[in-house]
Amino acid sequence: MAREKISQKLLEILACPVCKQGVELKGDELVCAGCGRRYPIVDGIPHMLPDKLR
Amino acid sequence: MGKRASSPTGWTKCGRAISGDVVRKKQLEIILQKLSPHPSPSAELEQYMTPGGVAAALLQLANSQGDIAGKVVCDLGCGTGRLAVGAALLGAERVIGVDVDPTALEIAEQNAARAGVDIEWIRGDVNEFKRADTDTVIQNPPFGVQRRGADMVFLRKALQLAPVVYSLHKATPKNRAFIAERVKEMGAKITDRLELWFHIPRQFKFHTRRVHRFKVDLYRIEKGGKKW
Repeated sequence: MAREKISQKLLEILACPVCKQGVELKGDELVCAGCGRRYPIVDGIPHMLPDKLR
Repeated sequence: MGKRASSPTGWTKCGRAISGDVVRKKQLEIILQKLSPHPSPSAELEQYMTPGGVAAALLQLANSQGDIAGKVVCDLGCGTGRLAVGAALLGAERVIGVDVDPTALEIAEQNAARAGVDIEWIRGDVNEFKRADTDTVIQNPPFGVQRRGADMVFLRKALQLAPVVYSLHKATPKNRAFIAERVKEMGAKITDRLELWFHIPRQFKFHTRRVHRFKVDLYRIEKGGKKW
Protein backbone atom coordinates (compact mmCIF):
# COMPACT_ATOMS: atom_id res chain seq x y z
CA MET A 1 0.00 0.00 0.00
CA ALA A 2 1.75 3.09 -1.21
CA ARG A 3 -0.81 5.73 -0.32
CA GLU A 4 -3.88 4.81 1.66
CA LYS A 5 -5.81 7.97 1.14
CA ILE A 6 -6.46 10.08 -1.84
CA SER A 7 -6.16 13.83 -1.89
CA GLN A 8 -9.07 16.20 -1.42
CA LYS A 9 -8.25 17.78 -4.75
CA LEU A 10 -8.64 14.46 -6.53
CA LEU A 11 -11.82 13.67 -4.65
CA GLU A 12 -13.36 16.88 -5.92
CA ILE A 13 -13.11 15.94 -9.56
CA LEU A 14 -14.32 12.35 -9.27
CA ALA A 15 -17.86 11.40 -10.14
CA CYS A 16 -19.88 8.22 -10.07
CA PRO A 17 -19.65 6.75 -13.60
CA VAL A 18 -23.24 5.53 -13.34
CA CYS A 19 -25.21 8.53 -12.10
CA LYS A 20 -22.56 11.28 -12.47
CA GLN A 21 -23.02 12.51 -8.88
CA GLY A 22 -20.08 13.40 -6.68
CA VAL A 23 -18.47 10.83 -4.40
CA GLU A 24 -17.52 10.96 -0.73
CA LEU A 25 -14.72 9.24 1.09
CA LYS A 26 -16.11 6.84 3.69
CA GLY A 27 -13.56 4.71 5.45
CA ASP A 28 -11.35 3.35 2.69
CA GLU A 29 -14.00 3.46 0.00
CA LEU A 30 -15.63 6.08 -2.17
CA VAL A 31 -19.38 6.25 -1.92
CA CYS A 32 -21.61 7.92 -4.49
CA ALA A 33 -23.75 10.67 -2.98
CA GLY A 34 -26.53 9.91 -5.46
CA CYS A 35 -26.96 6.16 -5.89
CA GLY A 36 -24.81 4.88 -3.03
CA ARG A 37 -22.59 2.71 -5.24
CA ARG A 38 -19.22 2.07 -3.71
CA TYR A 39 -15.85 2.31 -5.36
CA PRO A 40 -12.65 0.89 -3.92
CA ILE A 41 -9.32 2.66 -3.57
CA VAL A 42 -6.54 0.24 -4.43
CA ASP A 43 -2.97 1.28 -3.71
CA GLY A 44 -4.05 4.90 -3.62
CA ILE A 45 -5.78 4.70 -7.01
CA PRO A 46 -9.55 5.18 -7.05
CA HIS A 47 -11.25 2.52 -9.19
CA MET A 48 -14.19 4.32 -10.73
CA LEU A 49 -15.79 1.55 -12.74
CA PRO A 50 -19.41 0.49 -13.04
CA ASP A 51 -20.14 -3.06 -11.86
CA LYS A 52 -20.12 -4.71 -15.25
CA LEU A 53 -16.57 -3.66 -16.01
CA ARG A 54 -14.91 -4.80 -12.80
CA MET B 1 8.87 14.10 -43.07
CA GLY B 2 5.44 15.04 -44.15
CA LYS B 3 4.27 18.47 -45.03
CA ARG B 4 3.54 20.80 -42.21
CA ALA B 5 0.52 22.94 -42.56
CA SER B 6 1.16 26.60 -41.87
CA SER B 7 -0.50 27.57 -38.66
CA PRO B 8 -1.56 30.56 -36.63
CA THR B 9 0.26 29.29 -33.58
CA GLY B 10 3.49 28.96 -35.49
CA TRP B 11 4.29 25.27 -35.36
CA THR B 12 5.96 25.60 -38.70
CA LYS B 13 8.60 27.67 -36.99
CA CYS B 14 9.00 25.29 -34.11
CA GLY B 15 12.35 23.92 -35.20
CA ARG B 16 13.83 27.39 -35.12
CA ALA B 17 11.71 29.14 -32.54
CA ILE B 18 12.50 26.69 -29.81
CA SER B 19 15.96 25.70 -30.98
CA GLY B 20 17.26 26.45 -27.50
CA ASP B 21 15.01 23.69 -26.30
CA VAL B 22 16.04 21.06 -28.82
CA VAL B 23 18.46 19.43 -26.42
CA ARG B 24 15.81 19.38 -23.78
CA LYS B 25 13.44 17.73 -26.19
CA LYS B 26 16.02 15.05 -26.91
CA GLN B 27 16.57 14.57 -23.20
CA LEU B 28 12.85 14.30 -22.66
CA GLU B 29 12.61 11.72 -25.44
CA ILE B 30 15.39 9.66 -23.86
CA ILE B 31 13.80 9.75 -20.42
CA LEU B 32 10.40 8.82 -21.80
CA GLN B 33 11.82 6.05 -23.97
CA LYS B 34 13.31 4.46 -20.84
CA LEU B 35 10.01 4.18 -18.98
CA SER B 36 8.66 0.67 -18.59
CA PRO B 37 6.18 -0.70 -21.12
CA HIS B 38 3.04 -2.69 -20.42
CA PRO B 39 3.90 -6.35 -19.72
CA SER B 40 0.82 -7.71 -21.51
CA PRO B 41 -0.80 -5.18 -23.83
CA SER B 42 -4.37 -5.76 -24.94
CA ALA B 43 -5.25 -5.65 -28.62
CA GLU B 44 -8.83 -4.76 -27.88
CA LEU B 45 -7.87 -1.66 -25.93
CA GLU B 46 -5.26 -0.94 -28.61
CA GLN B 47 -2.57 -0.66 -25.98
CA TYR B 48 0.70 0.25 -27.51
CA MET B 49 3.15 2.67 -26.10
CA THR B 50 3.45 6.14 -27.52
CA PRO B 51 6.97 6.19 -29.01
CA GLY B 52 9.29 8.39 -26.94
CA GLY B 53 9.95 10.70 -29.87
CA VAL B 54 6.26 11.22 -30.60
CA ALA B 55 5.47 11.80 -26.93
CA ALA B 56 8.32 14.31 -26.64
CA ALA B 57 7.21 16.10 -29.81
CA LEU B 58 3.63 16.37 -28.60
CA LEU B 59 4.71 17.66 -25.19
CA GLN B 60 7.26 20.10 -26.50
CA LEU B 61 4.80 21.56 -28.98
CA ALA B 62 2.11 21.82 -26.34
CA ASN B 63 4.55 23.49 -24.00
CA SER B 64 5.66 25.94 -26.67
CA GLN B 65 2.02 27.03 -26.93
CA GLY B 66 1.89 27.62 -23.18
CA ASP B 67 -0.35 24.61 -22.59
CA ILE B 68 1.77 22.52 -20.18
CA ALA B 69 3.99 24.41 -17.73
CA GLY B 70 1.96 25.72 -14.79
CA LYS B 71 -1.23 24.11 -16.14
CA VAL B 72 -3.59 21.40 -14.99
CA VAL B 73 -3.06 18.61 -17.50
CA CYS B 74 -5.07 15.44 -17.95
CA ASP B 75 -3.88 12.36 -19.84
CA LEU B 76 -6.89 10.34 -21.00
CA GLY B 77 -6.12 6.69 -21.62
CA CYS B 78 -2.74 7.25 -20.04
CA GLY B 79 -1.63 3.62 -20.18
CA THR B 80 1.81 3.37 -18.63
CA GLY B 81 1.90 7.12 -18.33
CA ARG B 82 4.44 8.37 -20.86
CA LEU B 83 2.59 11.55 -21.74
CA ALA B 84 1.58 12.19 -18.13
CA VAL B 85 5.12 11.78 -16.82
CA GLY B 86 6.44 13.99 -19.61
CA ALA B 87 3.93 16.73 -18.79
CA ALA B 88 4.97 16.63 -15.14
CA LEU B 89 8.65 16.83 -16.13
CA LEU B 90 7.87 19.95 -18.18
CA GLY B 91 6.44 21.64 -15.12
CA ALA B 92 2.70 21.09 -15.23
CA GLU B 93 1.12 22.26 -12.00
CA ARG B 94 -0.99 19.15 -11.68
CA VAL B 95 -1.22 16.02 -13.80
CA ILE B 96 -4.09 13.53 -13.76
CA GLY B 97 -3.80 10.19 -15.56
CA VAL B 98 -6.88 8.12 -16.32
CA ASP B 99 -6.94 4.56 -17.60
CA VAL B 100 -9.24 1.58 -17.37
CA ASP B 101 -6.45 -0.96 -16.98
CA PRO B 102 -5.07 -1.50 -13.45
CA THR B 103 -1.91 -3.22 -14.69
CA ALA B 104 -1.06 -0.22 -16.85
CA LEU B 105 -1.64 2.10 -13.90
CA GLU B 106 0.63 0.05 -11.69
CA ILE B 107 3.44 0.48 -14.21
CA ALA B 108 2.50 4.14 -14.61
CA GLU B 109 2.90 4.68 -10.89
CA GLN B 110 6.33 3.07 -10.96
CA ASN B 111 7.30 5.15 -13.98
CA ALA B 112 6.27 8.36 -12.21
CA ALA B 113 8.24 7.37 -9.13
CA ARG B 114 11.27 6.61 -11.26
CA ALA B 115 11.03 9.98 -12.99
CA GLY B 116 10.54 11.63 -9.60
CA VAL B 117 7.19 13.23 -10.38
CA ASP B 118 3.85 13.26 -8.62
CA ILE B 119 0.80 12.30 -10.65
CA GLU B 120 -2.76 11.55 -9.63
CA TRP B 121 -3.91 8.29 -11.18
CA ILE B 122 -7.52 7.28 -11.59
CA ARG B 123 -8.76 3.91 -12.75
CA GLY B 124 -11.81 4.50 -14.83
CA ASP B 125 -13.57 4.60 -18.10
CA VAL B 126 -13.29 8.06 -19.66
CA ASN B 127 -16.63 9.05 -18.12
CA GLU B 128 -15.96 9.54 -14.43
CA PHE B 129 -15.16 13.21 -14.09
CA LYS B 130 -17.94 15.31 -12.73
CA ARG B 131 -16.26 18.58 -13.42
CA ALA B 132 -12.97 19.80 -14.61
CA ASP B 133 -10.61 22.59 -13.91
CA THR B 134 -8.39 21.01 -16.51
CA ASP B 135 -6.50 23.38 -18.79
CA THR B 136 -5.15 20.87 -21.27
CA VAL B 137 -5.91 17.30 -22.25
CA ILE B 138 -3.12 15.30 -23.85
CA GLN B 139 -4.02 11.93 -25.24
CA ASN B 140 -2.99 9.10 -27.47
CA PRO B 141 -6.37 7.42 -27.73
CA PRO B 142 -7.03 4.03 -29.28
CA PHE B 143 -7.02 4.66 -33.02
CA GLY B 144 -10.43 3.09 -33.39
CA VAL B 145 -9.09 0.37 -35.66
CA GLN B 146 -10.05 -2.55 -33.42
CA ARG B 147 -13.11 -0.82 -32.02
CA ARG B 148 -14.55 1.68 -34.42
CA GLY B 149 -15.13 5.14 -33.08
CA ALA B 150 -13.14 4.56 -29.90
CA ASP B 151 -11.02 7.64 -30.60
CA MET B 152 -14.11 9.83 -31.01
CA VAL B 153 -15.32 8.89 -27.53
CA PHE B 154 -12.00 10.13 -26.18
CA LEU B 155 -12.08 13.30 -28.23
CA ARG B 156 -15.58 14.20 -27.16
CA LYS B 157 -14.72 13.66 -23.50
CA ALA B 158 -11.48 15.58 -23.84
CA LEU B 159 -13.30 18.61 -25.22
CA GLN B 160 -15.73 18.48 -22.32
CA LEU B 161 -12.85 18.50 -19.87
CA ALA B 162 -10.58 21.19 -21.23
CA PRO B 163 -10.46 24.12 -23.62
CA VAL B 164 -7.35 22.77 -25.35
CA VAL B 165 -6.76 19.21 -26.51
CA TYR B 166 -3.73 17.53 -28.04
CA SER B 167 -4.66 14.25 -29.63
CA LEU B 168 -3.04 11.67 -31.88
CA HIS B 169 -5.01 10.03 -34.67
CA LYS B 170 -4.48 7.83 -37.67
CA ALA B 171 -3.29 9.88 -40.62
CA THR B 172 -5.35 8.92 -43.62
CA PRO B 173 -7.17 11.36 -45.90
CA LYS B 174 -10.48 9.75 -44.99
CA ASN B 175 -9.82 9.96 -41.28
CA ARG B 176 -8.70 13.58 -41.60
CA ALA B 177 -11.94 14.56 -43.25
CA PHE B 178 -13.88 12.57 -40.68
CA ILE B 179 -12.13 14.17 -37.72
CA ALA B 180 -12.46 17.66 -39.17
CA GLU B 181 -16.18 17.13 -39.50
CA ARG B 182 -16.65 15.68 -36.02
CA VAL B 183 -14.59 18.41 -34.37
CA LYS B 184 -16.77 20.99 -36.06
CA GLU B 185 -19.87 19.21 -34.82
CA MET B 186 -18.49 19.36 -31.30
CA GLY B 187 -18.21 23.12 -31.60
CA ALA B 188 -14.42 23.07 -31.60
CA LYS B 189 -11.67 24.09 -33.96
CA ILE B 190 -8.52 22.39 -35.19
CA THR B 191 -5.82 25.01 -34.83
CA ASP B 192 -2.91 22.84 -35.90
CA ARG B 193 -2.15 19.49 -37.41
CA LEU B 194 1.24 17.89 -37.63
CA GLU B 195 2.18 14.62 -39.27
CA LEU B 196 4.47 12.33 -37.29
CA TRP B 197 5.89 8.85 -37.79
CA PHE B 198 5.03 6.07 -35.41
CA HIS B 199 7.32 3.09 -35.03
CA ILE B 200 5.86 0.22 -33.08
CA PRO B 201 7.66 -3.05 -32.54
CA ARG B 202 5.58 -6.09 -33.41
CA GLN B 203 3.44 -6.86 -30.40
CA PHE B 204 0.19 -8.36 -31.59
CA LYS B 205 -0.33 -11.43 -33.78
CA PHE B 206 -1.92 -9.41 -36.54
CA HIS B 207 1.21 -7.31 -36.87
CA THR B 208 3.02 -8.80 -39.82
CA ARG B 209 6.21 -6.76 -39.70
CA ARG B 210 8.95 -6.64 -37.12
CA VAL B 211 8.54 -2.91 -36.81
CA HIS B 212 5.30 -1.36 -37.88
CA ARG B 213 5.80 2.13 -39.25
CA PHE B 214 2.90 4.41 -39.97
CA LYS B 215 1.88 8.03 -39.97
CA VAL B 216 -0.17 9.70 -37.30
CA ASP B 217 -1.56 13.20 -37.07
CA LEU B 218 -1.06 15.27 -33.99
CA TYR B 219 -3.95 17.66 -33.58
CA ARG B 220 -4.25 20.74 -31.44
CA ILE B 221 -7.93 21.39 -30.95
CA GLU B 222 -9.46 24.36 -29.21
CA LYS B 223 -12.91 24.62 -27.86
CA GLY B 224 -14.84 27.79 -28.55
CA GLY B 225 -15.53 29.69 -25.34
CA LYS B 226 -14.20 29.12 -21.85
CA LYS B 227 -13.92 25.95 -19.87
CA TRP B 228 -16.93 24.81 -17.93
